[in-house]
Amino acid sequence: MSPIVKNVAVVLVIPITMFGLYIILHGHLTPGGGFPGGAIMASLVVLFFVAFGKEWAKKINKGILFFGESFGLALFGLLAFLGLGTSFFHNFLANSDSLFGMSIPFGANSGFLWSGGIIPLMNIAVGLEVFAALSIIAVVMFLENGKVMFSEKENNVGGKK
Amino acid sequence: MSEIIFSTGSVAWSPLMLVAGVAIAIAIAYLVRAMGSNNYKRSGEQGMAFFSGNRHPDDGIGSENLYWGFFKSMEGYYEFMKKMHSGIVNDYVFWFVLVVVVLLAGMAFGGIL
Amino acid sequence: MILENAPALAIGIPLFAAFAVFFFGKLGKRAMKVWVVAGLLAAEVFIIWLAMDALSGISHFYAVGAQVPGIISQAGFPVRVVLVVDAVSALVALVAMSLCLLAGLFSLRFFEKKEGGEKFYSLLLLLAAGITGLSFTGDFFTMFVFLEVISISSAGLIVFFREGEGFEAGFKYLVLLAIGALFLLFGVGIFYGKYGLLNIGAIASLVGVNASFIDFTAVALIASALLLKCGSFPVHMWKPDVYQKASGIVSAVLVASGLVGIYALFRVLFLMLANTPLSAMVGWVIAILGVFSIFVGVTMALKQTSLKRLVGYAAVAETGFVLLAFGTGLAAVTSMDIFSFRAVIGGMFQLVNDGLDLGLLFLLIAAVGFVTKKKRIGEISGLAHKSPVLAVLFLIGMFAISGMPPFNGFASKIIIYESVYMASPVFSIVGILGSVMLLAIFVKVFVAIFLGPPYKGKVEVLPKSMLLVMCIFAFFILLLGLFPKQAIEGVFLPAAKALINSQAYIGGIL
Repeated sequence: MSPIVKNVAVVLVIPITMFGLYIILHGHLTPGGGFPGGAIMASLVVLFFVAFGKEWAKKINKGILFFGESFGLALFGLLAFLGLGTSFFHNFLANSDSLFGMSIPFGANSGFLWSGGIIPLMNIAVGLEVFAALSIIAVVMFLENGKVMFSEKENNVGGKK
Repeated sequence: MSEIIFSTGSVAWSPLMLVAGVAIAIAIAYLVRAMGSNNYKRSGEQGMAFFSGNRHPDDGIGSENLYWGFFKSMEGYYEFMKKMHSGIVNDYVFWFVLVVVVLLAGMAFGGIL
Repeated sequence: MILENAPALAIGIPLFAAFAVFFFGKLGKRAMKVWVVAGLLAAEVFIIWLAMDALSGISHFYAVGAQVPGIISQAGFPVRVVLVVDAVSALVALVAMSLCLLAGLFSLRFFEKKEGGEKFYSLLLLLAAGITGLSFTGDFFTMFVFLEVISISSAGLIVFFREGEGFEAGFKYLVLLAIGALFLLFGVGIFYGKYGLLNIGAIASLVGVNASFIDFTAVALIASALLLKCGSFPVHMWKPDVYQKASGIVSAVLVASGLVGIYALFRVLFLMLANTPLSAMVGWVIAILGVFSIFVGVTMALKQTSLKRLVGYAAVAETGFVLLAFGTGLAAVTSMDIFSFRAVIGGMFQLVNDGLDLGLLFLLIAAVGFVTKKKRIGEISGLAHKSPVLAVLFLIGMFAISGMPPFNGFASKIIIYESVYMASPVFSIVGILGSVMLLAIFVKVFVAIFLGPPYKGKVEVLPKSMLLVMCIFAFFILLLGLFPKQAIEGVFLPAAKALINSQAYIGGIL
């Protein structure tokens, strides 16, 4: 791709990341949440594929992406288990005057970030997971390009065990 | 005795008695076999399968051809079934939509009547 | 304290275990295997505890995330996602999770030499969590979510380790189940639009009061989506394709997901159509579909040359038996005939036998492939000389699935034949014919693989864990077959009562 596209892609990293993180973090106040925010951040990876081509894609460390995906999911599961004293998936941070459980000020405002209990934490976990998983899907589809999809043994319908 | 007889209205059935009966039958068969002569050799002529006096057919009448008569008599049915199991997803979705239509029509007529 | 959260933990533990398998895979293969078995075993222990309670009459209702999980409806309608554990859902979850656990144990040595195992176990645990969730759910939207979880994770499992030949089957499966799930969502949306509730029990109580045409439309859409999931007659074509291309272990777990699909279908139908005149018509339609499934499954299975495809068609026929039995029970549920109750008992027994027999057969096929390292059935013959244990196990599975005494297939099928005969003699005759033809099919398979001149290739030693798993299956087949009366009175009678009795379910929710 031409230098204009490459430079603009590099410049666009910061706005796209900020926007994606904003959607993830404010999931309990505005429409969005973990899944759309993670998808927005994964679009960065696709943007870089389009701008820089296969050589850049080959340098991506898939191990870190797998780790991030599993870490996000494990964090989600762990948060569900932490409230087990009352019940499974119990929102133990709400109304507790701690990290995300502050009392909401009275009256109309544009949304108070430190409310919601474990919901923002779960949004962050899901956002991390979706970002990693969609990036891996994009990497595999971009690099392998259907090479593992078709083999000559595929259309043998009867006779195979 | 009623713990080992299982009855469903018109049938009484006891699996333990069946197993006992089969065991007794096998024991009697084994006793009869033990009273025979034991000069049977596995290899050679005595061990080969019997094909009504003919040689063993080498060209593979396998077990796939066991039910040839059944298949020949139901050929039309099998042609229709082969067309139905074509392997194309669009045909499968057509059958699914057919099921939805049948159930909806049945519900509509059943609910109105 | 932990035990009162058991319904949610039975779903949550495999879920969390699925997510954390990756980290244990980094620690080494042995740690990963221990983690997988521990996750499945913990869920199984919880489900066994719940089943023992439920089958003796104590049903558990659990509101996920509430202050007090036991209180469901404080204001006259249920508030959170509700998990319902009564006799029939506990029994179905027990059968399904046992199948997943045994298949997981079987796969430990089976996939030992291949890479990428942690993703396989992750998908297997996710599938186990989804199946348990579908059987415990009391909420329509959660039913849709778990249906999607099952379809996506099993589509991933179908193509695993198949080196390119499973993609067609996996793609067809994914497309069909996605369309079915969308129809289910449409029906759920209709219910939500009319009542503003998503809970199955609450909607059932409102439908019972004033049923109208729009309710029946929603029920028809949901029922047809679940019929696609369990693989009844006109939409059964994905079953042989999928069972053929997947590995034997994955096919055993897919059988479990089919059983839970049948349970979900009849839970919805028995609850929604309990006091309406439509139950007779829907029951007859499903019974006719079941009869056609038996006939088509058995006749198509006769012609197959590929062994797993053959057992796939036999699975369609066995599902047809369960549909026939439950459909007859539904058709006569308002008139409270004794034969309809017996049909439901027979169907329940046949459901459990399905899981056991088909699971054993699929695992046996995987074991035969492992031992001989061959892929085509035509190349194997005379295996009984080299490994008689496999031959005996295959005989047990074959006699059980075709309903020969004294195995469990006979006990369940004779109840089905007898009670269905009261509804219509033709159904019963087709059922008996189907069983006989199943025996014919499997005799042909047995002769082809196990009898004949001794096998000339190299036969590997069967690992002890795989042998142990198959012997557990055979043990339960023999146990249920030799003591059917105790099994029916202890297990299947309470389950059938819980399925038919919609008032108890609704009373527990509201």
